[in-house]
Amino acid sequence: MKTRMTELFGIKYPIMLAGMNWLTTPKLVAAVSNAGGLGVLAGAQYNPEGLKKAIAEIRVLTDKPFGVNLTLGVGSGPLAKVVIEEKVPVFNYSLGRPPEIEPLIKAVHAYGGKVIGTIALVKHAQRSAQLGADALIITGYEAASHSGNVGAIVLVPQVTEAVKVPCIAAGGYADGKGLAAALALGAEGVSMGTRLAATKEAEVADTIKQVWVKANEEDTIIDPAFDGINCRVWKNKAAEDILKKKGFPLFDAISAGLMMKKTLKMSWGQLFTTVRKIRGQEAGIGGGKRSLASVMRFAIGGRLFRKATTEGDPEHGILMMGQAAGRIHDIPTVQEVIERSVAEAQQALARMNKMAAE
Amino acid sequence: MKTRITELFNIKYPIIQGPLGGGMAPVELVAAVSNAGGLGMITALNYGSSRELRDAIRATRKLTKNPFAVNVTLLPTMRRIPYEEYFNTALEEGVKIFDTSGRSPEEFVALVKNAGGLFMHKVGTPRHAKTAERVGCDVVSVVSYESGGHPLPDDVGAAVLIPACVDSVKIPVVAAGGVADGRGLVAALALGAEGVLLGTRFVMSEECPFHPKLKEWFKTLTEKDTMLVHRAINNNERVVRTPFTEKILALEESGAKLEEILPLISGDKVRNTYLTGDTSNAVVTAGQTVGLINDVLPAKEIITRMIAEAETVMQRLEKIKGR
Repeated sequence: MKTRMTELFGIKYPIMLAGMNWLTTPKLVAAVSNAGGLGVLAGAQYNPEGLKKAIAEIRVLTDKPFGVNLTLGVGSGPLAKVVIEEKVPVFNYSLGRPPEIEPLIKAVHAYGGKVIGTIALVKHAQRSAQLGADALIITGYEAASHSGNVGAIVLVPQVTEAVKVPCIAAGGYADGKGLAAALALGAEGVSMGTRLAATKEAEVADTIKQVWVKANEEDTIIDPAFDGINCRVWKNKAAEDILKKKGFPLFDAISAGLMMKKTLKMSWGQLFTTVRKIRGQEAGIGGGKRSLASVMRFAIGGRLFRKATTEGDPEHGILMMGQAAGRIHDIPTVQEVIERSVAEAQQALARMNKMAAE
Repeated sequence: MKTRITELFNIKYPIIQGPLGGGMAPVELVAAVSNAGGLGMITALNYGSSRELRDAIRATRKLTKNPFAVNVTLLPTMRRIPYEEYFNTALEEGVKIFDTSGRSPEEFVALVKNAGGLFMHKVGTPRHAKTAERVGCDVVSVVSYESGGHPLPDDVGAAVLIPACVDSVKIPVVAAGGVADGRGLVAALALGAEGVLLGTRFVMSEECPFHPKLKEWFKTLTEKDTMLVHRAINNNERVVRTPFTEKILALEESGAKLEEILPLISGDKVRNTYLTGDTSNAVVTAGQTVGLINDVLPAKEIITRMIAEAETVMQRLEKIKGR
């Protein structure tokens, strides 16, 4: 299968791994790249030394193209520096303002790398394309974690019509039917998150993988309560408890903030600057402004997400999960997911050709 | 184009005009859609009595020889509706295809099936699709999050909901919500649907009496300009974001009583807005596809253009697949 996406990145199949914090590990990233897709590592889960080490690990495991994703803003500067120093083949950013984005794109282009911008609105797509992004990820409402409020079936054709760069559809894609649909809507490929995390190679507890297998498409909720910006998560008791909590959990916010300071080895000054910076950001890829409360929720969210992913506790943790979880019924290998999706997409196209011919 | 939907309904293209309340699906629109090879649909509740419905069916017959459907919405209403009378009248007039939504249509399925008719029902979750199949429906149309009118509050997008419903039933599935052009048609088919149902796109047809001012307004709307209201009163509805709809939502979220809200959202007010173009005191429903629609076309052209676009999309996909 050849699309502008496969040609741009030099990959075999138009499928990429979504850079998910605490779920994308060097092993999973390399598995996706080795299977002919584009593996992407979430950079925000590391400090600069950690990221450098992880990139080196990926390079040991694969000689194929891969990418690193960064959410621009909170302490992303030093991480972006690592991406550039290491000449990572594909850099994927989300959020960020033009003065941050533009020099990064230039720096990546300088060493011959490619840049993907993640967006959820037509306006942001146009802006990213103008700034020089080589491709865009269009995040539909169905996606896990952060998205806007527009369903993929409407958003994808709108964006692909508005920009010239190749677009990758994200949110709601877990199989070949979805891949064929995304291509029909004008995308050049898909990004899979939850589907590629529910694989043998993913280094997440089996308890969590089973959550994805058992969940159906109605089992998620999207709300700003989890990390301050609209975020889609699994509707478990922990998530519903957060939604029910009336007042603002000040104590949790402070203690989580302190944990963030400790994890990222920040000084008090850096912590305050970071908080100020987050407040200045747009409230998620769907747009809007952030409040101080939303910034504090960001710290709490980080802790609860790790409880689910790194500690494998599906009961007390908050698990980001897309509606596509309803389409996941097994834990295959990454290669099986990718090859099955491509074969299914080809079957879907053959079936439609028959419909059209008659 | 041939799918189980075109075969079952005996139509040329798997494109269905959705029910449009507030008098927005006049016989001219219904007939134009059917004449163009799609399936036009009379919206029974636009008519105050079964006698008026009978007149509308007869008027449609004069304009087209092709099949058309009658929709009977079973959602909660403020006036009492003689549902059975509507079904019987349409059956007497020889209508073969029925479409329902709002609640389980079980009590009306036998009525239609015994008269040799076909039954299509709107669902918003695989659970309801299974129920519809079990009670004897011939087709389910899947109303996703993006849809105008009344999507279910489960908020599942078409990209996930369509294949989920397709997998859960054996009867053919129609995608309702998020489709307005040939790209959406091919995407829906790829996801396993065998037809599409369009609302907002046909509101933006020349045959629809939607006020010209509103049509001009719709042309300017983007993907961000709709929102969901009435969730608090169990009647989830996608509407255009206006100062009035924001006010309604705020009122609902503040826990206002049903009696306070109902007078503000009556069908008469909506109908009045559609005909006068004044959006200051009524909600205007629209799907997210409003962001994809930038022109007003004759219904026939909407359909022919969709088919032409779908063919272009298929050619592109064939290249991707083949290379």
